[in-house]
Amino acid sequence: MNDSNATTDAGPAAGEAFARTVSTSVARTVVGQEVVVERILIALLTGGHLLLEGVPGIAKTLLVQAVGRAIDLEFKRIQFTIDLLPSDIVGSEILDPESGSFRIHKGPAFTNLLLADEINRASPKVQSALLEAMQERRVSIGDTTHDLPAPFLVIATQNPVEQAGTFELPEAQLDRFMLRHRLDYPTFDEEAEVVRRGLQLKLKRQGDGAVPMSAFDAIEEASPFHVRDLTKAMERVLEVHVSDVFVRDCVELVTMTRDHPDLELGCSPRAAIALVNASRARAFIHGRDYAVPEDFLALAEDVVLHRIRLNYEALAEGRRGEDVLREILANLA
Amino acid sequence: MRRRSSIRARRTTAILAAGCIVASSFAVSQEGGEEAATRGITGRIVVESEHGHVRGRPDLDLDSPILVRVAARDHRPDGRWVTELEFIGVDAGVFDLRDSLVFDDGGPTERLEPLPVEIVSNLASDAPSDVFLAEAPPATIAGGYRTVLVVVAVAWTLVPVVVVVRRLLRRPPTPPVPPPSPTILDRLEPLVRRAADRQLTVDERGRLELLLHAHWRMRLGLEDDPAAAVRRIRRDPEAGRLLRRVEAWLHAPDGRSPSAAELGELLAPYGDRVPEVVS
Repeated sequence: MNDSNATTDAGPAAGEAFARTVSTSVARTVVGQEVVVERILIALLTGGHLLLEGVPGIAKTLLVQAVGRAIDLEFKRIQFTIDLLPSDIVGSEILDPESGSFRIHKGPAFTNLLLADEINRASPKVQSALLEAMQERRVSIGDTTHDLPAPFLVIATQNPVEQAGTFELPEAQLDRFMLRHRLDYPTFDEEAEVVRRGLQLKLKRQGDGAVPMSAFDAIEEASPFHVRDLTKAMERVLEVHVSDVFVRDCVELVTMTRDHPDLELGCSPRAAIALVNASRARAFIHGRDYAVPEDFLALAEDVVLHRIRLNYEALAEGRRGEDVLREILANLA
Repeated sequence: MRRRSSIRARRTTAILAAGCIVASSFAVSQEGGEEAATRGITGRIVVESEHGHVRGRPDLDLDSPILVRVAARDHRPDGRWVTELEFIGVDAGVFDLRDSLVFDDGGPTERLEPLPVEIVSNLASDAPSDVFLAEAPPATIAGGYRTVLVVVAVAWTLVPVVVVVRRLLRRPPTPPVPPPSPTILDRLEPLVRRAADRQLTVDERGRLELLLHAHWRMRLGLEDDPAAAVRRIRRDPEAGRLLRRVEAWLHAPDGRSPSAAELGELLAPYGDRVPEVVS
């Protein structure tokens, strides 16, 4: 907790210190992935939700858990499967045999940081239940409505390769994720460091027996921050100045996606809001009290790409969303 | 009684029917003592002789005016030799069939009574025709079905070929000479001038900043990715310093407009006209 002054300090440097402390804490467990940590922090600071796309085995779960631990957030993970039910997420009423009455059993949605692993493996009904909870930040169990804890952040993951037996999230549902970030494999040096760290893991003793430690066991127990530090940081983000010129740039970008000849579906106004809010958080993380074009340029891919759909002709020509976005950004002026 | 009359009626009917069949099978009519037959159609004639059977002359060929073959032979108890002959007239006209016959014993056919046959033609006298080797009529739209089909098929194939070849050979129209693309500096210049006069609208200020990004991106030869390029520009000693000052001017909360001197210094690097083309 010795670094928690980072957010109580006034001035633009507070955000940079906050982000650096969280990154340092996470880096003790996870090698590399600084950009993803930044995106998770942006989502946390703005109350948006994050969709992570990446092949299995690149430490998505470990990363999210480490970030949660760094800010002392309650963390829960749900592995989405085809037979998952909405009640498995939000909870249900259970008959108490002793009292003969129903009692509420709260599901894993009642947490600060919820990792929805492989969200596209669950049926649309379950996806819809989670996305409603994300949107409204409350759930109904039986006749009663329960507020979800604050902060409440869903980080969902998708495997972009294995698509058999999955239910692709429709555009309307995707739009509810503030950011979608694609994780790449670590670099050669990073991967070597991952292996070296794995070699240092010892045995975890349980009674007379023992099991090998995993990277999850290496997550630091001590949290440099508390939830209230996050709340303060969120307040600071709201103070980050957004100029009219910056708003103009963001709206211009979003509207250009609606008129582009290669796009069947452009971005909704929610995208412009997300772009401005996320840019604010990024400015805060980078120690500025105002957002600059670099912020929205850096975040455009994560905000825009999952909200646009290429038309048939563009797909036939082998165009990708990244190409179209790059073209739009180049022509923005 | 009734039964006998019934039998008689049946016999009469049978004889009449047989007569009709025989009459129809002989496409030969007897008019004025001559057997008549249509050209190319088989006619029949019965030849009776007391000297033996007759047959067609062995040297008859397709060029002969009339061809003869033996259809049936009989030797009657009264000693007469009956030969039923079939003949086909190749040319129209009246012929003595004896000229086309020989006796089996090789004796002269003058021993027979004259056997005149008339071959009649239903075609016009000048109609070119050959009984055995019909000449193909000239191909016309009305006739020559196969030829017409071939012509249509060839035309069907040729039409797209011709169209494709013509398109390939067609010279593309000379494209209109596009007006020279405005350079970044062309676009920057009026904005810089208006900025100096402090007349920039929000939209113009936004465009000014993004054009400055584009200017530095090209000047420093940075990659296409705008986000990565801006990061690099901000790290560049000269460009970064200027860009941060523009950012502070356009985005900082105090929003203080630079003085005329500051503005002049800020926009000075963009005054040099270099041949850059907007990508």
